[in-house]
Amino acid sequence: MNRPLISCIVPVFNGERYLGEALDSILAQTYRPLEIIVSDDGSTDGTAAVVATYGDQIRYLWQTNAGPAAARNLGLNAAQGEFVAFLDHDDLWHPEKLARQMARFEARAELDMCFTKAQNFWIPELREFGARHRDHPALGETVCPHSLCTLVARRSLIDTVGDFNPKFSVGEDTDWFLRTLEQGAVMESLPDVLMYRRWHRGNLSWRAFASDGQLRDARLQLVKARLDRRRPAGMMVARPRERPAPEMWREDHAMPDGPSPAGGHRAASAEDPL
Amino acid sequence: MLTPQDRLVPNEAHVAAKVLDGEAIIINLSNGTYYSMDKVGGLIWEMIERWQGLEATVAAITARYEVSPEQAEADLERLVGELIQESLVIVSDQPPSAAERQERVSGQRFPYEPPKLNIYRDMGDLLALDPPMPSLEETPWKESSEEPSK
Repeated sequence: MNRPLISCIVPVFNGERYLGEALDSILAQTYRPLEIIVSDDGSTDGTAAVVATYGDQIRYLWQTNAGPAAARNLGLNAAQGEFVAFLDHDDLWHPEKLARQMARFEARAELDMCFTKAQNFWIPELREFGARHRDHPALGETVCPHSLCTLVARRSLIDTVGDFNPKFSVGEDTDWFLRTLEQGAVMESLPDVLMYRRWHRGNLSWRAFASDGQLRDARLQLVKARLDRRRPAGMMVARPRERPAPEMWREDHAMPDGPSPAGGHRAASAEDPL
Repeated sequence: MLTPQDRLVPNEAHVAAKVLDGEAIIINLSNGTYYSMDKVGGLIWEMIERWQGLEATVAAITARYEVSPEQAEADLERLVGELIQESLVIVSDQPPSAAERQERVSGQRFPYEPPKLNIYRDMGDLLALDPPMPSLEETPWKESSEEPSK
């Protein structure tokens, strides 16, 4: 049987510390065929040397530092797969991640995107810190991030929606997800934990810094862009949308008086101004 | 019950907001609900961001739009009720500062439409993804831990 190719894109900036483990977790996938693309966003550390140890199993692309959206696009431009997946250099996949997701695509021809659950883990020095904050929405043990690192998407969806907007130095993933929703993308979220997000000093301190300023600002900009996209040209006032939008990922997003469709189904959205 | 001297301020612990192209974009970060208010609503949010009182806000609206103070005040009261109900603003208990600026009268007044708070609840998780993160400063750090293990 001819199984479709998945392009696994790993954007990285100065990721020598953990990159090897991420690549190993891709090579350990039970699914084949794969192509693995490391998209180096101008690293100045030993990232290239780490990739070189894998020989021709991995395609290595380099660009002058231009941000995560541009790095993802660099990988996308080179990707040849019918399906695309992303993994950050410090995170890991479960060996069956891609196989279980591809089973869903096989079962549902209309499916465009498939997410999974993720589990946070901490480098040893931060385990105590992690235990103290296990009630934090983003830092609990098992989370349901609609993260690019849990996603497998059809390439045709990406071609329709377009690539990542480099205007967003943070939040480029959220902007892209919103655009997929506006295209009526069909999505599903597996209940299995198939991605492991590593918390370490670098990403935790960055998130703590960004969540106050940059991320908030990016969220506002993408909401504004979303509202603008929904308006007829030249109109400044938000109007109720005219066509149904796809339901959000989780069942509990349904409005109290609305339907409660299972994740992944197209359904009317309770999106209109109330 | 609010009085004209009361003033509202953004509920900054849970709300991100900005006026972009005259339109106020407001996100409740704890649940991902987002809001927009344009024209008169955008002006009202600007006044809230500047910690202006309700009285000064009415004055700013009537200076810029063709509307009576009575109607502007009634519409403002209604809108403020919605903003409080949605936990987007809180009533400030600090006295007005001397630096508080009055809206300048610009001359030209524009046609008035009552301000409207548009509410959207379709983005849920996506916008609530990034609640404030705890700071690492509370944790003593061993420098060696981030060194490559090889």
